[in-house]
Amino acid sequence: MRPEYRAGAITLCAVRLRDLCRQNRMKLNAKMKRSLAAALLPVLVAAIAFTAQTYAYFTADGGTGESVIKAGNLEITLLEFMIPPGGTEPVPYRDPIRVMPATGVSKIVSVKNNGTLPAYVRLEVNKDITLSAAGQGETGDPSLIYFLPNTADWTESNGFYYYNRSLAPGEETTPLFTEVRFDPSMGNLYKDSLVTFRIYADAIQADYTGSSPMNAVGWPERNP
Amino acid sequence: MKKRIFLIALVASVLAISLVGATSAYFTDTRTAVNVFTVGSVDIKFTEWDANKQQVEIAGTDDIIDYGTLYPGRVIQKNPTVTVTSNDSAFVAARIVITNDNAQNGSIPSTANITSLITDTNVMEFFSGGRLGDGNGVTIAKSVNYVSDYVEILVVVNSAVSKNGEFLVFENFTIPGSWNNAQMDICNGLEVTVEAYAVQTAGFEGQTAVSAVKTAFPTAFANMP
Repeated sequence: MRPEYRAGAITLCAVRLRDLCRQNRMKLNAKMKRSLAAALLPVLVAAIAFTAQTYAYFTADGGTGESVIKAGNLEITLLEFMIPPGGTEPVPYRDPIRVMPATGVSKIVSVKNNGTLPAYVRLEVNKDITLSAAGQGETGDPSLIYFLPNTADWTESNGFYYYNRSLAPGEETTPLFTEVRFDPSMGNLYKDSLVTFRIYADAIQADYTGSSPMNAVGWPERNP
Repeated sequence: MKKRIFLIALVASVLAISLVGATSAYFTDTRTAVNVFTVGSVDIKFTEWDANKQQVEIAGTDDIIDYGTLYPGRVIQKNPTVTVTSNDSAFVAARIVITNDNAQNGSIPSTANITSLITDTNVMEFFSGGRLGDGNGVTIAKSVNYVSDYVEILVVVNSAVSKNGEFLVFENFTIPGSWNNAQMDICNGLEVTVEAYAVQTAGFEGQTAVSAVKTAFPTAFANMP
């Protein structure tokens, strides 16, 4: 057994067992060989896995025979637009001054892949209501603020909305929703209250993470 | 020797596992947007003149103003006024209910019904001034409830009322000078109750004020056509 592994910038040298034995002037018997083999098997497996994950593509540059490894980058932009009252063309979103029950606010939400790698994207929407002083002691119901998701291109799972396919570099998703609505049943308890609407957009490289966005591994975790 | 081999293998395994674990990472990115919506409100103030002709604010049904003794020809200046105090405009309406002691006590001989004196056809003779008096820009509905013995008048302002805008329901309630003793007896415990209502205009685009008020207050304005 004379293994030496070179992967990337890290050189993994396996122990030269025979050399060790020679130093100690010992002769390995069959039983000891089996024990040693069993003990070192996980090392071998790990080394192979490590080698596989750090495998990178080489590109030629200038015909000199040099190898250049370029790492891609993953970057997304969360896009928010609106159709202003009386208008027809989308403009950058601005928070409305006052909203009322039984009304809706134009809000168009999508994601753009600004990186160089194909990406899976997902969105999460959290809502919170802070009642006015008149409503202290009561609890608002965030479900009274809602949107109608685009289920043709997005799939909801465990509170996340996953874009159904990978997003190519420079590509933009279709909107997840285009309007936020306030239910007519929002009674006087909600007068002068504040509704906080948080939208989180996550992206992960599409390659080597899974065959679909929902079974991809490595999605970033959110701090509570 | 066995111990040494075991230790070597253990160290190597731990090192290998940590290396594998450290390289299981992917490119990710996260973006966050926070939006804050401020919810509006509809608020009104309701005032009337008391017996001393002082304007007082009416907070609720417990605020009863005693106008003293009634007699034929007496003019009671009530001036019930609804003022929008919120930044958001509203559709404003009023419901007037006229009853007497007999109805309130549950004893209603037919000859003592207030509805025998005040009907849906002559009721407007008792009111003067204000929107009810001149009928401008309002929709008025009158009805008589013979079961519970009261007369009801519903008034809806046909256009939105913005902040600080006022709706003077009527100025005066007048006891006819021609009433006799028997008719005045029926007036014992006469109560003229005015209820003020307001509903947001937002969300009712394309609908009339009457439609909005009926949607918001289906019980109180059930008799508004």
